[in-house]
Amino acid sequence: MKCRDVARRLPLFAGEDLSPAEMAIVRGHLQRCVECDALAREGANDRRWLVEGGGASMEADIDPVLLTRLQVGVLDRLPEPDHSTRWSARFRRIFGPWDGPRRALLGGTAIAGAVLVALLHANVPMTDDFTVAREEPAPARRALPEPAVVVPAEPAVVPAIQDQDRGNRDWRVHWTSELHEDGASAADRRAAVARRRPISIASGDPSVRIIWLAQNEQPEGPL
Amino acid sequence: MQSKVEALIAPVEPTTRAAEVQAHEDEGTRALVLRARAGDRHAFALLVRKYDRRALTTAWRILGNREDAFDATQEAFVRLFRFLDRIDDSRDVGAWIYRIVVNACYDLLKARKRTDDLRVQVERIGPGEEPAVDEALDHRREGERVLAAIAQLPLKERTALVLRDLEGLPTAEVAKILQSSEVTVRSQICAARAKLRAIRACAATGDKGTP
Repeated sequence: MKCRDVARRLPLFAGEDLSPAEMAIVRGHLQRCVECDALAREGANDRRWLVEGGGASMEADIDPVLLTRLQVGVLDRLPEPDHSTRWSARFRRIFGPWDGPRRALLGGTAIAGAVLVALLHANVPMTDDFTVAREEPAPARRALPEPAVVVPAEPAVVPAIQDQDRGNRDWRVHWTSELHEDGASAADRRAAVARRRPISIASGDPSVRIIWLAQNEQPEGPL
Repeated sequence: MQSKVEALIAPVEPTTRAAEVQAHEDEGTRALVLRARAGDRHAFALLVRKYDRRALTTAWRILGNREDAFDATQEAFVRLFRFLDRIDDSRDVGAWIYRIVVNACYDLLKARKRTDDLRVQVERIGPGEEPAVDEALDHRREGERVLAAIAQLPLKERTALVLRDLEGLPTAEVAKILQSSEVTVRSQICAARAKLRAIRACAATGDKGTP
C-alpha cells in the first residue's frame, strides 16, 4: 500500500473504523514510514481532542434544573389519555393508531374478500382441472322391488246385521234407516213404527219385494 | 465437571459482567416501554429521565445551541410517546431514541431554515483577557471550540460524526439510525474527520477561512 492510500485511510484508522485486514496493513505501513506515522499521530490527537472536548462542554451546561425543565415540559406536552367510549377510540385502544400499514393491511384484506365473494357468486371454477370437476357420477344400481305380501282381509261385518241380535229398539232404528232410503217421510216412518204395520222395502231388484211384518201379523192381500 | 459452588465463586470476566449489567438494563428499559405503552405515564417519565441527558447532548451537538436542542429533545420525547407501539422490542430503545432525536433535529432545521446559519454559543475570549487558570474552565472552553468546529461541518457528516465519535456508537448502529449504509456512514465520518482537522489547523494558525 502506498502512502497516498494510507493517508486516505488515516481518518478511519484513527477511530478503528477500518476492517481488521486494512488495520493490519496500515499498521505495518506506519511502522515503516515515518511521515505517515506522524500523520497518524496527529489524527489520533485530533480524535482525542474531539472526544474529550466534545463531552466536556456539555457537562457544565446540562444541569439537573435544565433536565427537570425538560422532563416537565415533555410530560406537559403529552396528549391526554383517551377514555372515550366511542367506537373509534375503542378501536384505537385495541388495535393501535390508524396508520398507514394498518390501513394497507385492512384494505388489502377487504379487497381480497370482495374478489373471493365475487368469484364464488359468479360460479367460476376455482381449479383449472375443469373436466375433473364436471365428471358425471356413476349411475346407481336399481334395487329390485320387494316381493308382494298378500294379507288376507277380515270379512266385512255390517253393523246393521250385528244389530239384529239386539232388542226391538234396535230393529226400529234399522227400519228407520231403511225407510229413509225408501223415500218415506219421517212422519210415515214414525206412524208405521207405532202401528207396527207391514212395510214394503225396496230391495233394488224389481222382482224381489221385501215385506216386514210385525210379530203375529198376517199380511194384507197377496204377497 | 464444575460444581455449582465453584461456578458461584469463580471470578467473572469484566466483559461478562458488563454484558450482564447491560442485559439487565435493557430488560428494565423494555419493561418501562411496555408499561408506558399501556398508558403508564410514570413509566414514561422514568424513560425520559433515563435518556434525557443523552438525547439533549446529541441534539445540542447537532444543532449547535442549547435552546434549539431543548426544543428538539422535547419534540423527540413527545414523538416517542406517540409512537411507542412502533418500537421493536428486539431492538435497543436507545437506538430508537437516537433516531427520533436526529429526525427531530432535522425537522427543526428544516422548519427554521437555518442549516447554514447555526447559532453556535461560543464564549469568545477577549484579547486582553487572561487565559483561564482553572482547569475545569479550560476544559469547558476547549469543548466550546470543539462544538464550534463541529457546527461548521455539513449536516449529514456532522450527525454521523457526533453519533460515532461523541456518542460512541458503532458504525453499523449509526447506519441504522441514519437509515443509510455502513459504507456511506464510513465515508461521511472520514470526510468529517478530515474537515475537522483542517478546521482545527486553521484555528491554530488564526486563519478564518473555511476548510
